[in-house]
Amino acid sequence: MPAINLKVGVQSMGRFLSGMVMPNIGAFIAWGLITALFIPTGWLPNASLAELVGPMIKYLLPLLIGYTGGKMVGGERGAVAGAITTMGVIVGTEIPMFMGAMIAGPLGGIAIAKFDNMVHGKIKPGFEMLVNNFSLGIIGMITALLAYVVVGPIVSVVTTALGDGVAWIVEQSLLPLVSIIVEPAKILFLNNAINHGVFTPLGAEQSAEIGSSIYYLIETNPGPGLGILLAYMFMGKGAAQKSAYGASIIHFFGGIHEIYFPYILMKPRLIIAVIAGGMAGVAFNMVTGNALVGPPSPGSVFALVLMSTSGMGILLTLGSIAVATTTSFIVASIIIRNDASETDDLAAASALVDANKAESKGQVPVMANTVVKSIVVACDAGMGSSAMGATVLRGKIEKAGLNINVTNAAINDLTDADIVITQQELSARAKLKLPSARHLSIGNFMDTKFYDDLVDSLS
Amino acid sequence: MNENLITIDTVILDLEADSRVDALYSICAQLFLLRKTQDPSGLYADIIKREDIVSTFAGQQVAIPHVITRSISEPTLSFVRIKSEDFTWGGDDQDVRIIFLLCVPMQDDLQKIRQSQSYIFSSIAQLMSDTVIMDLWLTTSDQQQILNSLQAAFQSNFSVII
Repeated sequence: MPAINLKVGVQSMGRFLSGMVMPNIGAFIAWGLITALFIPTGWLPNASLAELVGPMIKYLLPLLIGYTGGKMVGGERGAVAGAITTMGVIVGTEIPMFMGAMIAGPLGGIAIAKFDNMVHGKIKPGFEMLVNNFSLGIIGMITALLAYVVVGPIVSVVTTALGDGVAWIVEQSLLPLVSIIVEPAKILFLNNAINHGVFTPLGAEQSAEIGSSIYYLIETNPGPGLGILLAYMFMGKGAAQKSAYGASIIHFFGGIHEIYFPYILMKPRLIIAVIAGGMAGVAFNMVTGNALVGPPSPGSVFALVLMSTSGMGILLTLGSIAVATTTSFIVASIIIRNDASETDDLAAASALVDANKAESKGQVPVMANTVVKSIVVACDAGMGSSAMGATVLRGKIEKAGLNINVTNAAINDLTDADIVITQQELSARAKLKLPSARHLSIGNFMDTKFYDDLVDSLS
Repeated sequence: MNENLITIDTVILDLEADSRVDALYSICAQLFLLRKTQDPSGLYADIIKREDIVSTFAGQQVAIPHVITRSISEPTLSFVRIKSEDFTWGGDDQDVRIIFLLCVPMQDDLQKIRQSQSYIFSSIAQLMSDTVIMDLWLTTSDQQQILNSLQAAFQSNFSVII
């Protein structure tokens, strides 16, 4: 179905974009804290220490994104090429180049990966280091120049246009309408794609200009979800009501928003409540001028408070959470009270959430209409368990008549695959190495049922 | 293909061992006696280090410890059948009777090593799906039969995979 393809496509793109940002969120937070403390309007204004703010946002953060983007497509050499290329877009413009880094980083990585593939096995013994070093240097130089001359100016124009568009939305007081897209998207586990792929870079750029950004508050406000859980506590019944107490603590203090998704899936009309709550929170922040200095990750009340601006910032942030919570609570209470017809099966809704989440992370029974060309079975050494697993899976793939290449590799050698299969203990390492792939975890590599299910889902 | 990868001497039947550690230590000692390694302690330490990353239990009563190590001079595969039917690998649900221990000497190009040795466990995976072979491995008292079954599979897979 086209809708499924669109969702999978958006999730893949979101995974790729957020994969460049998420490993570097700590650096964003460090920058946000330095900004919050030392800029002239900060908690402890200090002109000398505030000099860190500019170079960090202009150079450090885009370079980290570019480095990570390059690494995702071209390994260690891709990372270096990505960082060199990103320098081209940074120097080529005056604005912080987050979007540029998201293009330049992978571009550098792809360039060096293509070169490496082209010369693989053709370098004469003894010349490997010479070729490796100079190819990286020369290709990096070319891509940096390309980024400086072409990518930077284009991204600059696009960024300016987007900025103008967003400014228009803000001027027309339409920003709260963004919640109509954001809140339902969260339930589909597009939250990381939206937050870290879009709002964090946009927020960082705005924050560099004016010291803080409202974009950091759009997706991260825990108020809408808290309103839903409170409504279940007061108006709900059965398991949903009892579990809502614990869920609200995890959600509000721990910042794990995913925990309230099953409660919405039990009564899909509650999506109206989170949209209303989200809109109310954004409207409150827009009217009061409240914003955060850095990305609050995860979206816990503690993180939001820490990233608040000085002065009234904390109170306004807590106010926006309260407004969003109250609005969401009122709407959700009405819906829950008047809606006895729909299921209260929390377990079924939780299962649906797990399926959505697995799908968003690629841990899915892969859908038949998804194009899968290569599967890599990976283990630590790349010659033992993975070789056995790849052999079993290859036989089943061939028997099913599927045109999919199945190989085995060490996790450290992962460079490209649509699906990566690893033992559960190694999945985190594999995801870190190749975040763009779908990752499936297996108990042991000779588990034929696992492979049968996978082949069924691919057929 | 390396003809010395597995020999009749490294097909060990009915090893008495109480635990994974015990079994691996005994096999390292055996490899020392066979002059396959000059540093059995180092070899054992490397195997355990690899095992600590993730268990090499492969299901179907088989475990496949494997290691790239400086403590061995040429690729060596050992087939070991454990005597006790109560032997477990990592946990109670990991019953093991057969251990394939592959030791490969360290070289600069790790990727090349991995690619060149993959055919071994690929072949073993194919053999494990054959119940006749599994029965043979679990019951025969003739080391040569086991050796033949493995070498035939290695021979046919070597040219395909490499």
